[in-house]
Amino acid sequence: MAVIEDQGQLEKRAAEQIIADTPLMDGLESISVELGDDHTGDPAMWLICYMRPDLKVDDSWLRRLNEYSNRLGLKIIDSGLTRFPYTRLRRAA
Amino acid sequence: MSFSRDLISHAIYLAAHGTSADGTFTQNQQQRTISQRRAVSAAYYALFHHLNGSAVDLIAPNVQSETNHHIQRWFEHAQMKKICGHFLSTKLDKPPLALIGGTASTDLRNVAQSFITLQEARHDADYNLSYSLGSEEAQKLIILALVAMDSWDRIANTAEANIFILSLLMWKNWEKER
Repeated sequence: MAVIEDQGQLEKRAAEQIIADTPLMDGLESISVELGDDHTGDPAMWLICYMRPDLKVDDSWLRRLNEYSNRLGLKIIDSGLTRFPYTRLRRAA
Repeated sequence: MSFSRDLISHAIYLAAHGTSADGTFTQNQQQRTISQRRAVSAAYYALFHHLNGSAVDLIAPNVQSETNHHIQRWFEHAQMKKICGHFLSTKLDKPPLALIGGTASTDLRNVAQSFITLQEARHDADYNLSYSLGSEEAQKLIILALVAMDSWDRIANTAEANIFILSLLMWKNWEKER
């Protein structure tokens, strides 16, 4: 069990490094990584994208956010990490 | 309009439900949250039926629509998620490696990635009452489904799309080749 947790933390740190190396999209304040299992029981990670509190969201921005988060997700997958990166959108406090 | 496009229209309607044109709310927060959850579910099923409809067109083009609907039920959600994962890697493994080459196209990877994302969101929307689903998140997921459907339409008549569809049904048989 400890080995699995260690592996998860290693993947989390690796994903955080990939995020740090990727320019943050306009309108986002930060992205954090949370670990867990998805609904099929597979180990996964959630990239929590925090929007600026004053951001006016429209379809165009959401479309660009999807492109951005898909690219980021593929970078994580292509780096060899095994946890699928899901994206969640939240407004920063 | 196809059933899957109708589902996207329904998702857009649900996501906006309870909010008037000037942005004021006509429903309470809980009613709006329920509508947003149903919108996310509809967005997932739009992509699900878009792929399955295309699959049936490919494997049973001469079968009547009523029978087609039975064939569409052969596709299993968890298995589809698993197969999508096989097409995401930069370097494909067998059997797709031997059939379509080293990597899937950007459009197919977008479809596979979006399908996995939407399936998880749909599961949370339908079953996880602690899932905090905002209106922006619901809109984002609807757009994700719509863009994935457009990606699929660009590649639907290619060899890799054919192999992807056959994989959804035949992966277990192909695993003998791995």
